Amino acid sequence: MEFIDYYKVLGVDKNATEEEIKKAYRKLARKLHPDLNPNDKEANLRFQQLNEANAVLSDPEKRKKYDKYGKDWEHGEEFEKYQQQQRQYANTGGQGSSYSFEGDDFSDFFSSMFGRGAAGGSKRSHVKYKGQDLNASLQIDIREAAKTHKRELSVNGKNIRITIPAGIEDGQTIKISGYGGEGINNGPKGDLYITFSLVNSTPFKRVGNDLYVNSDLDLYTAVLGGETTINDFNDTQLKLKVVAGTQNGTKVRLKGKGFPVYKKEGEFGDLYVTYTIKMPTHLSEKEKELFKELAQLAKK
Amino acid sequence: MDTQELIIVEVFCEEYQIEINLINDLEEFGLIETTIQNKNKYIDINQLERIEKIMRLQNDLNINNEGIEAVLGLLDKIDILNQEIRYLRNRLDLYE
Repeated sequence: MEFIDYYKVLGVDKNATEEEIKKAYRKLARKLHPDLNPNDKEANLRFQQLNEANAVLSDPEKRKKYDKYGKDWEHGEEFEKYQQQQRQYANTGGQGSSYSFEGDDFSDFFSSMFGRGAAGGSKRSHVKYKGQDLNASLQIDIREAAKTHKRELSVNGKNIRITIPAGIEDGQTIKISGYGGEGINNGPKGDLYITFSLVNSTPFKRVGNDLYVNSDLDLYTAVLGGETTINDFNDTQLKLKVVAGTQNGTKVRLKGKGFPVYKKEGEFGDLYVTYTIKMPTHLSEKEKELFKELAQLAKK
Repeated sequence: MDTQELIIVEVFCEEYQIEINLINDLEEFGLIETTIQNKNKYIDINQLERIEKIMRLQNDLNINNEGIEAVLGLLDKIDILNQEIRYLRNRLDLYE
């Protein structure tokens, strides 16, 4: 359990007045509020510490105790005594435990110092709130992302089975309703947000629903025209017609051979094939002669 | 055809322990929309997240309706920009 310097969290001096603490809290709350910093875990953690700091330092009695035992609470004999008193107090059903924040809303340090129900008096206690939203990240292979499939995940010790629709994008976040933290004051459960990160070890580059791939083309087919074969994303061989005089870097579009469109069954993006013309090397004497002949012809 | 899931405003207010006036006020200000069917006022469940966010901003930060409108507008813009960044990053991968 790590000691939290609440004065540092609020950025105020140890002798700060109630007004200064209030002001510092409001200023930082506006900056770090989770609704203003979606998907920012660091800001969410700092907001939680800020609430703790405010709950302790804005209450003269709690502040006094924090100032007295805070730093040495781990070893302080008096703190132990205080904890014992607190337990007795809680068992007798004393006031001040109406605040119903549960789970991870307060740090272990705070709970140990003041008990789970110590943050009473907040406006939040009157309103039902949806539980905390949880964020998770999931790495999947791009080939898996091309097919609708099921995945079992373990979130906070709970196993959940989700369906990942084909066409999910790298960096895309999906919401699983009701799999977040418990609600506050009997409010609904929070949601689970899963952000996907796609690993791509294929030669295909993906932009939106379109795929891009490079394909080598021999010089003779490029000059004279003909046919070439490529493998599409599903490893299906496709025969492509090559027109005579195809230049290096020519891009060919294969409609509907790209990536599946997210949540649109049967719809696919396009596949773009870029030709890289391979120059012949290790020419035989005969070939050299013929190329020289061609060069002479081109000069005329 | 998409079906709309609706909650009666009174039920919503009871569940969240808030005054109906708050919903009327937010609607009047144009921050949320409600639907009237058979003389009952409903909230679309897709608006729940937005209303909860508004309530948190009001309670936690004492932001008034004008401020909330500005905050929500900017958050929407951030969302669009993040999508754009994601698209551009993927495009950039093509040239790397």
